[in-house]
Amino acid sequence: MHDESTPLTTLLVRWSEGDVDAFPALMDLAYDDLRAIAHRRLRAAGARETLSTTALVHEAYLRLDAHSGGSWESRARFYAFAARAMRHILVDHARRRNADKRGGDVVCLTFEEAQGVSAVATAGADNGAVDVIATDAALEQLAARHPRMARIVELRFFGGLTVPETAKTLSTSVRTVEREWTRARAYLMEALSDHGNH
Amino acid sequence: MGTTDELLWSRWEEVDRCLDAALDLPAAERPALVERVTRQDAELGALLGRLLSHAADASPRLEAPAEPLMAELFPGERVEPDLPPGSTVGRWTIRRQRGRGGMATVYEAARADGAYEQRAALKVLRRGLDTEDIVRRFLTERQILSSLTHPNIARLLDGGSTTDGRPYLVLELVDGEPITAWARSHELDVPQRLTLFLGVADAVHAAHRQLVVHRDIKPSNVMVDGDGRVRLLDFGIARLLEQGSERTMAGSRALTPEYASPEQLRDGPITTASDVYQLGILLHELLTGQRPQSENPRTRPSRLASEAGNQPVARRLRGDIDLVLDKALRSEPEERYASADEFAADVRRHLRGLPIQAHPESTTYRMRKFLGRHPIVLPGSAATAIALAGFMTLLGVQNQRLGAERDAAEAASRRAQETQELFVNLLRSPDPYSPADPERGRAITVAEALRMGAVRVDANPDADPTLRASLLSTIGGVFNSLGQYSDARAVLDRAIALRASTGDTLSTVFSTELGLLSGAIRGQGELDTALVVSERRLRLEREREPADPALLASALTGHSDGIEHADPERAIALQEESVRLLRALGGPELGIALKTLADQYRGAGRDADSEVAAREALAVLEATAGVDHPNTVMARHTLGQTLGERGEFAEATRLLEQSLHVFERDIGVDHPFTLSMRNNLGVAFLNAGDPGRAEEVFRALVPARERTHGERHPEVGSAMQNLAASLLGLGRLAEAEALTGEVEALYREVLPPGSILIAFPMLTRSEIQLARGNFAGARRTIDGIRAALDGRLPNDHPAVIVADCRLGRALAGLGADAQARMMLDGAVARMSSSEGVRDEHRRECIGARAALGAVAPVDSLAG
Repeated sequence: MHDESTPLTTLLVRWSEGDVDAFPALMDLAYDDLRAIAHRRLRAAGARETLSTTALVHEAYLRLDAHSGGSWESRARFYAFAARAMRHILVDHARRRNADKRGGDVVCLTFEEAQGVSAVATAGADNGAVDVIATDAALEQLAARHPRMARIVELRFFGGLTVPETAKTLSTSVRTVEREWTRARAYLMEALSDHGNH
Repeated sequence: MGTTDELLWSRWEEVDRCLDAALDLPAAERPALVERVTRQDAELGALLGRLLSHAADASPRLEAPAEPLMAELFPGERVEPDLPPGSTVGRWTIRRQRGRGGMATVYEAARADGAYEQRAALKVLRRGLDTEDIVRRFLTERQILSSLTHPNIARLLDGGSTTDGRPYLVLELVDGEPITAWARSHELDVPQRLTLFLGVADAVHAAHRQLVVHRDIKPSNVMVDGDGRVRLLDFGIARLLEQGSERTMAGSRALTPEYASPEQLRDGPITTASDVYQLGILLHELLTGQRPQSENPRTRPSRLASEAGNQPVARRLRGDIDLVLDKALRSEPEERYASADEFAADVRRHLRGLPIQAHPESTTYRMRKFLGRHPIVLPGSAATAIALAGFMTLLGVQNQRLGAERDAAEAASRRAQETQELFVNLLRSPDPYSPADPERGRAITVAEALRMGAVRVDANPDADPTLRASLLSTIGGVFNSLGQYSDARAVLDRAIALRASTGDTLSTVFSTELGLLSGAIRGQGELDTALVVSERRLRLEREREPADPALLASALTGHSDGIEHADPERAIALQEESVRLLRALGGPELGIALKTLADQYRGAGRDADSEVAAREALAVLEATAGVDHPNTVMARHTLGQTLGERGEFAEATRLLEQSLHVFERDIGVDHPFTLSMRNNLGVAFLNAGDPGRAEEVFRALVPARERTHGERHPEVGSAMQNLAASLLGLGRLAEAEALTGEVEALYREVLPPGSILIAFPMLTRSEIQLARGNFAGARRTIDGIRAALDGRLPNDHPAVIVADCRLGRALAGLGADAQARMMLDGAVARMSSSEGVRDEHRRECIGARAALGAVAPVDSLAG
């Protein structure tokens, strides 16, 4: 309500009110920025050991919406969008890559964020990695049964939001997010571990 | 998809119910439940068992997609082949890769010569990144580390270049966990966490003594090893203070936004104060599990803990630790602890039970004290606005606006049932963890009860959103009345978000909530944001079919309040429209609107109109609301102010003192309304020619306003401005002039651009400068005034006339007699038709003109 003027804000409001057509337009607007930031992060000369999606999304928002007062409302909409965008980008990429290799490898995400120099290393190995496409499919199943749980996963996993941020974005309590996140995570891990057995 | 997968999704509702119930049980009782389920349905039981083990998996899985896929998504950034295990770098043998960052790859290594058994972390610059700039940075890190020896800083063991010329560092290997995870997994209590933190602060202080600023303090750079020793890592973006001039070199933006200090984010000069801030964030996260809320970094940590449901920790943090963190997390570097050492010293003092140094007066929660003494709920809502007094050197600030009160009353009656339930529940089942505050030894205050109520309403997602919104807006209205504007705003924001989520954005309650929200935002001093909200409401009401005159009147009043600081003429027009609508309806609302209009007339210098409106307002309210009702008291107060302007000082001070005493008794001495009344009494003393008593009033008012409104708030500025005017009246010119500078700086910081209030401290200064014979300075000041007022006030407004008159005096002082004459002639001419100009200003202006001779202003003197 504070800043209805910028195209970003307008599109975000439309999208959050259910206008599906606003999504591609938002992607057009934000994709380059998300990509550019990720790009810069990866080559950042600083001693960053990880690429944190959270940082990326925060920064993307600041860049895209530098003019607004930054009400939580508009930021929440952006987080929701960025999480969805990230999910699309990752899934599309995984699909394309798998198609290139004719079903060769499965693209995996590692579950854990590396914790700097001394983090216990899981990088390199396949353990602790999750199949993006399978996650996406499981998330669809979950969304059909409990939309909010699916949104929690989307915001936490793809958007990198913390529990309190997720709660604020979904206008619900921290406790609800914690409870549902615990369950949703269990379902996904179950669905994915099953998948891995094939 | 496999069979168990099918089971999961096909019987999901059932599975989810079981899992939810199982998770509610203590861990020890879960296997029994699984067993019971298994007996009835083996498949389901097995699935439940697996789900419970997934749920108990404590690894931070599925939190955020990590680097490998991202790296793959953005080709061209592919990492070079690893140094394979067994390869040799200098005196070190690579064992395995441990991590990979933007700049370097980290391996675990051991001494190749076997001279002694030592494992180490070997950090080598990534291939292709060995540009001059990055290599220099890498070498800087090496130089910095070699200068630092501290038990809490990971040591530099060795360094050199690989055979292909890339620089590397060998560091002490810290096998452990980030400080926050370690504290969690070891279930440390608050004192243990504070003690752990002291190790970090000491390490940072040691670095500062070597003129090294770390710049990237965050949990993943603070590891705790198996012995429980903290180690500060990663001086990769650290720098030597002497290099400060290179601030803009490439890569200076390499930082972690969530942990960056404000000056880092705006690319300002980085000093040790930046590390103090980052230490503050680290401690905050260590204690509450969360970083400070980005939209309000100074929200009390104890409150966050409390909202997260951790009452014991909340109690432990309340008080000292809230204050300590508040001081560390100030956005202005110079307001923080002067060093990491001072920060640590305060934490130590707290641990020993000694008084801390962080100063309580400067915190965001001064209202607590006030509410402790005055747990009263005032009916109605407060919207604060600033109006102009008819006189330039002081501000008659009357900021009582009760236009939104009717809205609150309506909402309250409509939701009376729900509200009653809420309050009954609050009283019947106080939070078991905080039945009373042990620190203060008394029952919880209304504000605290309301906060708990809001959290409960909000935490009940199953309730109907419309009902939740109504309860929240009721609570918001009460917070407004208590002057707790930030609480009010937070709760009302939630209510409005809920309305938006249900598509309920045309209803009358939504309109009322917008009114309350704009009042809360204005109360916080964000005048232009408030305006956006009140305008939206006005638009909503103007477009309503069929029109609702009461709501439209309320929206007009609300927007009129908001716009007054920027456009007083328009504010009056809106208010007159509101009064016209209300005349048809009658009731106390008419009295309130008339009272507001009287204030606005007075602000515009229309004192005769103001007196008529104020007398009618008082009569209406005495008849409809009662003699001692707050609104009636305010109308009486308004009449007192207006009579003061008209020179009837005895009657004016009598009315003002009378209304002040009622408010002190009924509402409390630190309530914003009461403070405004105190201010206005001071103004009346000034007008009555008693600057001594005025000074007394304002000197006490400034700190009271700072406590109630916060230090950087327009209300504080107006109190200071009035103090400056009193000092001027007492002839204490130097003090007064210095104060006007402070007021102007404050106004420029907190008021929206274009606000005419900025002219007021400048008008006072111009008078002082003229009195001291500083004509050039006065002229510059008046040019500034004319720029600030340009087009925003009519030409015959007293402020404009007196500014012109002052300019004439300055020009005369500078010897530009012809120009001075022209300016003064214009001012004198307009003065005769403007009733708001005070006698002493008439004399000032006419006298200055007379001193210039040539055309005698005899006629004007007679008038």
